[in-house]
Order: sequence, then C-alpha cells, then structure tokens
Amino acid sequence: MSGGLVFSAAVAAYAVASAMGLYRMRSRLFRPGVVQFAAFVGALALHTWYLMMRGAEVRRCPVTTPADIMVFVAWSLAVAYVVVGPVYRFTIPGVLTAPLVALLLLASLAFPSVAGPAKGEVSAAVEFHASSSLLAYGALGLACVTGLFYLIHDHCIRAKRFQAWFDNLPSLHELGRVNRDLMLYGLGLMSVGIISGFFTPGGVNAAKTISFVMMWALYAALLLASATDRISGRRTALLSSLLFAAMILSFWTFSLARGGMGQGP
Amino acid sequence: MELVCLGISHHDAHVSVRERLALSPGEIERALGWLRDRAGLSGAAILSTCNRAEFYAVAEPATDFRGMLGGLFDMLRRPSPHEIGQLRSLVGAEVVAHLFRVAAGLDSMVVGETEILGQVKQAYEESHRAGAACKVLHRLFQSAFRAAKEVRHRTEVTRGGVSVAAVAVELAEKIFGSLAACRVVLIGAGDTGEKTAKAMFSRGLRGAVVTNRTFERAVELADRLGGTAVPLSEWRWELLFADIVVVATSAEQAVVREEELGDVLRRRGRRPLFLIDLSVPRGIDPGMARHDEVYLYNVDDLQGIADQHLAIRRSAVASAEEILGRHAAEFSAWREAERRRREGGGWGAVGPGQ
Repeated sequence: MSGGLVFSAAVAAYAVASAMGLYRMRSRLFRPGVVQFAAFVGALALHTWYLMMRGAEVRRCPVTTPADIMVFVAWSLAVAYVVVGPVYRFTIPGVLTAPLVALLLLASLAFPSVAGPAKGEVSAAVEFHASSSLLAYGALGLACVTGLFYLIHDHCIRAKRFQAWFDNLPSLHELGRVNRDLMLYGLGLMSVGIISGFFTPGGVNAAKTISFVMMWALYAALLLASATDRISGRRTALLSSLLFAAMILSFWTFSLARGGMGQGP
Repeated sequence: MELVCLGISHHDAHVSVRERLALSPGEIERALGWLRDRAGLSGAAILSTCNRAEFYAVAEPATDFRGMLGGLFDMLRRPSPHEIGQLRSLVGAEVVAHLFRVAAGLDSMVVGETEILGQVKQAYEESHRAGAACKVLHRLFQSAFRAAKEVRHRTEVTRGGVSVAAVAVELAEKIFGSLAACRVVLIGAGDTGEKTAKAMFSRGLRGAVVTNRTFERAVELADRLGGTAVPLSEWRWELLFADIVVVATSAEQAVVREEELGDVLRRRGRRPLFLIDLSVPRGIDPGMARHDEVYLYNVDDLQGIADQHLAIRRSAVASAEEILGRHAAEFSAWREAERRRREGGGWGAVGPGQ
C-alpha cells in the first residue's frame, strides 16, 4: 500500500471521527461513542503506519520538512488524546482534537513533502532528540488549549454569564488537573529531548539549548507553584498558555535564524 | 380495548384534594392486584406522587372505569373520595400524549423537573410486578421512557437548576467537580442556609461546619446536617479547611470582611474558595471577589441564573412537544398494526386480554 493511500485513509478516518463527534456535540454529548473512538484509534494506527513508511522512505525520523513536522505534531496530539484519559476526551477540547488533527494533516499537503538533504549528520540520537522534543510540543500544546478552556470557564463563572456550549466543560478543578498533567507529561518529554540533545553528533546549539532549558525551568517552577497552592488555577492556566506561546516563538526564531526547519526543534 | 386515564394533578386540584386520592406503595400493590382481576380491564397502572394521582387502564369501551375506582377505594377500606366523579378523563391518543408529557416533565409544576421520570418508571414497574402490565401498557410506558430520554438529550427542557439552592450546587460543581472532597462553612442557622447545605449534601458534600449568633441553634442544625458547630468568634479559622462558605444571616453588617480574613486567606494558599451570600443586607464584603481564588455569588446572582434556566426550559417546550408528537405517532402506528394483525387473525395474534 502506498504512503499516499495510508495518509488519505488516516485523514478519512479522522474525518469520520470528527463528524461523529460534532454530531454528538449537537446533543450535548461529549463522551465519544464506541464507533467514534474506534474510528479515532483506527485513524491513529493508520497515521502511525504512515509515519513509519515515511521514516523508511527518508531513512530517518520524519521531522525534517514543514509537512513532516505538521504530520508529526498532529500525531502527538492524537496520541495525547488517547493517553491523557477521559477527563480530556469527554470535553469540548477533546471533541475538537479529531478535526484539528485532520486539518493539520490536510494543511501539511500545502508544503512539499520531499525531504531535502539532511543539514546535519543523520543519526538515531538526532532523530530521538527531535521526536521527543516534538512530542513535548504536542503535550504542552494541549496543556495550552486546556489552559485556554480553563480561562474561558473561569471567566464565565466570574462574569456570571453561561453559554450553553461551555456549560458542558468539566469543572475548573478537572481542567486544572488535566492542564497540570499535560504540563508534567510535556516536561518529562522535554527532559528527554534536552538530555538526548547532548548526545547528538556535532554537539549542541548553545543558544537553543539555553532557551529550551529556561523553558523547562519555567514550566517546572509553574508546576511546583501550582502543586503547593502558591498560585491560583487561573494564573497557572494563563501562564501555561503564555509559556507555550513563548516556546513556539523561540522555535520559529531559531528556525528562521537557521534558514529553515533543519533538524527540528 | 381502549386506553383510559382518570386523574388529577396540581393543575386542577388543591393538595387537600390530591391527598385524598394519593395511594401509598402498599396500597398501590393491592390496588393493582384488584384491578388486574376486574372484568373488562386488561391492564392498569397507578401514578401517585405529591403532584398527581393518575389511574391508567386498558379497558373495553363499555367498561365503567370511574365506577371501578369507587370500588377500589372501598376495597382499600378508604372513604371513597367524592372527587372521583370529577377526575379528568382522557381516552386513546389523549392518554398517550398526556403520559408522554408527564414523563418528559412538561406537565410538572416546575417545567423540566426530572424526578417525575423516575416516578413514572416506578409506576410501570409496580404494574409489571403485580402482573397488571399488558402488552399495550408495556409498549406505552416504554415509548414514554424513550420519548422522555430523547427530550432530555435533544432539548434544553431540563437544563440548569431553577431554585437558588440548586443553582448554588451547580456552581459549586462547576468549580470543584465532585463535592465529595469539599467542606462548607455555613454562617447562619436559618432555613435558607439549611436548604442550600442539604442540597450540597445530597450531591456528596464531605462535611459542614455551622456557626450562628445563637450557638444552640448552630448545634441543632449541625446535628441535623451531620456536621459540627463552632462559636461565631471562631469560624474564621475554619476557612483554612473550607472550600465553600454559605452566609445566610440577617445581620446588618457584612460578617465576611476582607480586612479580617487577610491572614487566613494567606495561610490557606490559592485553593479555590466559593462564597455564597444569601443574606439581605449582603453578608459578604463584595471586595472579596478581587481575590484570584475567590468566586462570589449573592442571592440576586443565583436567582437571576435560576430565572434564566426557567426561561430556557420554557422556550424549549415547543421542540420537546415535537419530539413527543413523533413518538406518539409511532405508538399509534404500532397500535394500528396490532389491530390489523388481530383482525387478520394472523400468527401471533394477541388475545382479547391484550
């Protein structure tokens, strides 16, 4: 089976899961139905298969072109959806994961997917470093989305205005917990990414490493402050979103400075 | 065989009349056994709640069901209420439409209340247990349950609490999720606070501390709630362990004041604190809302939300009626098919008792 066919099948399965999720949302049902969840898991399996095929094709972890990176980030979002658990899956952000992943896959088609020559030496260490870092981006991205939903819900409660759509959001307590869990998951992956970066051939990019370590420290400090009730849930959610925005900004800055996507984050 | 319903509800009878027709669970069991054996009836069910007393039957057209109910009360050795003669009578499709509306909560005192569906289910189960649920009644009630479930899922007719206490509980759940780990401090031992605390306990609240100007009243209420009482001078320290504070006093000045709680708030960290002010004049300093972790609602806020919910429920009635109409049409089609099958004398034709 060709990679294009597997890719198309994955997009179609995500689209089915999206359509079913959005249809159920009309009836205020956020918990995925059995068929819907099966479609999502099937789509994820196809998605994984495509990444493996793509990896075999380019002979490295497929994170070297903008298109590949989008496909990989979409995959990390899909994995997080399955891994994080019901509290996330049964909510509006959970319902919106399948459409977001499908859109990212479709958007990746706008970029050329042919991998150019690797800018650095291709090695397992580089690929491991790049893939764990991208998975960290996925988890922290979801933490950011959950944080934004926390802020919306918090605003509705304080403003005493309730929209029907947001009525079915989980409690602030649960959103806060998922937000922290995702940050913790992302922090773990970031640690792996940072440590593995020191073992890549050609050494580390000092500026990039310092920026990544600073982000790691800020996330760690935020988690610690939140766990010890030193800052409110609202500030935790706000800071998790701002930190992710800062991370994305620094990623693009380094990418632009290097004149392309190079070896990933 | 015809579907028949005789009944009264809060729409047409005072509680003093309804109570004369209400039956206890034991009486319902005996009544269904008695009705099951009456000639001319193939099925019966009784729905007896504080707001309605309704007697459903599948009867031959010539059956005097009203007269039968007189005999039923005699059998129960209860004075036969003269209101039996004034019971509202529904026949055929009217019964179907009525039961569907009742099960969906559209006929309730508070539109969209959900307790009635459980009561209708109980009425059916009692009939089934007593051997009084014939095929038609079985189908009728099952259709009513399906219709009510669809109304609940597809419309907003059951959306949100419509009392101050219910809204307070919903808000607490929006903040804390389950209340199983939450503790409440209740300032004031009056009726309003008690109702709110009880509503929270019904949703699994972990514990309550009650304080009041008259300490004895705080102790009495704490005993009723299963909580503890503390003197008014000591309640502030309870904030260290509390998640919710309900203030329902008639004090002329706010009892929860920001300047007196600074130290306690610092010590309790940034855990969320839900302040519910049910007092008039207000019992909580509005400045408390400035704190990041504090969510403050007063009685007007809560009543406003309850009113909004009620308006939303009422506006959803038309779409609920559409759903019920579709289910009623399906039930009628089924009855028609059954009638044709019986007339055709085909295999599986049901007996006259069906």
